[in-house]
Amino acid sequence: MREAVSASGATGFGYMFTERVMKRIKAERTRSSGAEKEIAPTLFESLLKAFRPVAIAGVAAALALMVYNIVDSRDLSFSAALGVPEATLEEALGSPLSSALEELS
Amino acid sequence: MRDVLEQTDEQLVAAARQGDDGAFEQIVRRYEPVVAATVIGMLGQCAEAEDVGQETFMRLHKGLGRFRGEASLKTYITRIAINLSLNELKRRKRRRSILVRKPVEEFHNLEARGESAEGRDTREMVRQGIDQLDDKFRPVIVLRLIDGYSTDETAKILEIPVGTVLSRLARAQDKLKAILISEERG
Repeated sequence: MREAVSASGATGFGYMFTERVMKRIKAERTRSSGAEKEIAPTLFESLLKAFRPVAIAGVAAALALMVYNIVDSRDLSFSAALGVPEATLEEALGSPLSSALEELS
Repeated sequence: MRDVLEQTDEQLVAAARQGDDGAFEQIVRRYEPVVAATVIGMLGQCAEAEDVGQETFMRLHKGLGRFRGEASLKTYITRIAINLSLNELKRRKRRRSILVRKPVEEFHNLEARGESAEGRDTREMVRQGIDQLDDKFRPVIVLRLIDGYSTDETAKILEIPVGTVLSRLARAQDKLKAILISEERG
């Protein structure tokens, strides 16, 4: 029986088996090198995806602050919305200049 | 070409690691009979056998960097072939589908072997008998009796103790004998 079993073994898969294996290996290699080329846009796309929710949240927070500033100052101007006080150059530089001018005169 | 044919397994593996396709092609040619005997022994002459055979070499190609040379290349390849065949048997059980079997001649070049019709019938009967063995016994029969591995090598490939190989071999032979006797009577 041992002889019969040992003789029952196959000797190959058929014609051109090696060629079929090599073709698959080459196809796999081409596919993987193509995938490498696609890494750059994929990375950019994933960064864009990650940034999008942060950007939306940031814009929402800025709008909320602008509304708060408008309500708080009861002024509909753009500078009120940004929370920038309306001041002249003199006011911005402060009173020391005006007081010094006064002293000179 | 002649150079490649004369190279040892170690030389071919080293060259294939460097991306030499010719060297890997030679490995495939050299070990196709071993893989075919193992895979067809495990799965029978079915359409999936060649897929598993191809996958064995694909895995070998991908894993060349991991091959340390602790075992021989033949043992390493056979281990991959056995594991993939066992996976296929598990899948087959899950699917429980009826396999479309290819004609025997597609896998075995019988005319080239110069076999008689009687010899062919005996081989086919044995083949069908092996198909009926449990997954636990089949690898032992395939490795020991078809591939011709020693008990030690079989134990290493299957990662089981030598005693287990021996007991499974004895039980597998008994079962196979019983199957063949009942087929001969029926």
